[in-house]
Amino acid sequence: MKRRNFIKQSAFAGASLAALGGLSSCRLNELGVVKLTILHTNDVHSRIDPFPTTDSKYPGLGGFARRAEMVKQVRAEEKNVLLLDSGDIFQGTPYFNYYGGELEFKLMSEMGYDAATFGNHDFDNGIEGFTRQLPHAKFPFINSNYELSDTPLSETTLKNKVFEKGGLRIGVFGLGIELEGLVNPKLYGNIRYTDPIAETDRQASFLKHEANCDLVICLSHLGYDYNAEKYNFDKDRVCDKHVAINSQNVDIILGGHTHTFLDQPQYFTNKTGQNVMVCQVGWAGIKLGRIDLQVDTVSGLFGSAYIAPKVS
Amino acid sequence: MRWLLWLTVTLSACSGSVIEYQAVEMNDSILGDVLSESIITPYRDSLELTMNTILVQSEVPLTRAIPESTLGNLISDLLLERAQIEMPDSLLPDLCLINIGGLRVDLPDGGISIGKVFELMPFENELDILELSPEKMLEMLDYLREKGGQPFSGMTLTIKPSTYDCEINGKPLDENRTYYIVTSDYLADGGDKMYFFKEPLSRIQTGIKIRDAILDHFRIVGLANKSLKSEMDRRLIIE
Repeated sequence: MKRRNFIKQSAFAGASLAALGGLSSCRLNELGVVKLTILHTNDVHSRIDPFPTTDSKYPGLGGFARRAEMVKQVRAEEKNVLLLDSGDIFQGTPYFNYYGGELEFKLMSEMGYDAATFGNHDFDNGIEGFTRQLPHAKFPFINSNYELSDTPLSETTLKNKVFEKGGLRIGVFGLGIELEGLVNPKLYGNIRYTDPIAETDRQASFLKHEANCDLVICLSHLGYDYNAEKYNFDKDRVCDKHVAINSQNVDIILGGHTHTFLDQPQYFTNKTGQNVMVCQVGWAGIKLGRIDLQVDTVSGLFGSAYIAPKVS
Repeated sequence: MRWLLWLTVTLSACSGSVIEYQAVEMNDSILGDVLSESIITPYRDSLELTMNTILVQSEVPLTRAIPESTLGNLISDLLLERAQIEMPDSLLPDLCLINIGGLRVDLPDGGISIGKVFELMPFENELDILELSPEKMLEMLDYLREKGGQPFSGMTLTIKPSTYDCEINGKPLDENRTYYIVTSDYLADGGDKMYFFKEPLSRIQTGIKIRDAILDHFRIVGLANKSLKSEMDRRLIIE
């Protein structure tokens, strides 16, 4: 029997009822309501130390040690925590130029990151430069839309991963940006980019229906939205908004690449009329994203997860 | 069935808000985790030593200005030289053009540290070589007229009210050949309104970082016990 979940609030009962359909059997309240906390970062760009207090934009903000402390506090308070990164861990300070990403991986491992996906800058020292640092990472890299079979990454990279937290099954897959034109071909070698939306269909359907996940999370380095004027040359690039609207079975997209500060998640209606939550926390580790969910695991009630924005 | 469903909705409504989002700012109200700090410290200390390492002495302050400047001339000269060393004779670059805005600080006379070079060139831009048609070369001269100059090397140029005196490699601009220009990948993509770089006849990505080229040059001059020199040689005159 499939386990389905239900994340919602009374104000959206109508919308949820509309999602009802194809009910077969029910398994009542096996787990009840489970609380899950998802912490996320993106585009930290080797910002080990906080910005100098003299910085014109972000004086004194950021820093890995502060993030480690915050993660520790959350773990002390919450039982079920997932910590995820959406790529571009590397590049941006001399720490990367001189240590190649070793320190970034060591600190992220110490913080207990559960997974990360590739950003384009993670290949700035080539695939070789990345794999050389990989022993320092005690967490997996997940990417679903890069064809890696002719690269050393094929053995270490996961297409997806299911995490179990407090009895919940959380499926995570990863999407990478098209590297051509963005990264020197010598650096990304035989990585072949494939269509993120087609891959999303495959991964999300597998995770929800075959791996019986209660929640499906997409770790994306595609970028939030290229309609803004500053992306004049990039209007056709596939972005998180496209993935949200043109997919099904995805509940949450944790994005990156465009350095967009979304202080609240943005919601989009997907192909089957359900809400998809899209998050991104700017860059440089200035902010740590935190999602607190209560997942009702009453089985079979709804066709798939339903996420409602908080109404306050 | 419907009754069951209604019951569940009501129950979950009783549990209050079920989803909440916060983007938590990492500011000085959060004390850094001690263990993480202890992992960072040796890296930070060693990096500081590296950044303070003096590579070379400069005889003069190296400053930024247009139409011509000591820093602009020095950097464009060393980038052209580096690209010429790297490329085969058949693709030998003729000139180098960069932008003064891409050089982020002036360098004082005296010792120049690695950290100073990172301040000068904090970006990861790389050297690209573009093959331009004579028409695009003329657009480039129009751009230099409009901008009032940008750092370049390999060319002498006098901008007259309606014409140009332009010599590349000691020869006048030849309208029957193409030219290979060294620049940054940022400018090659049309940055700083250098639109004449768009759609070149060919483009070679060297993969050499501009900062590395500068560090290498400074280190080589320093190791030879020489110092940096630069002067305004009137390569650009605007009449």
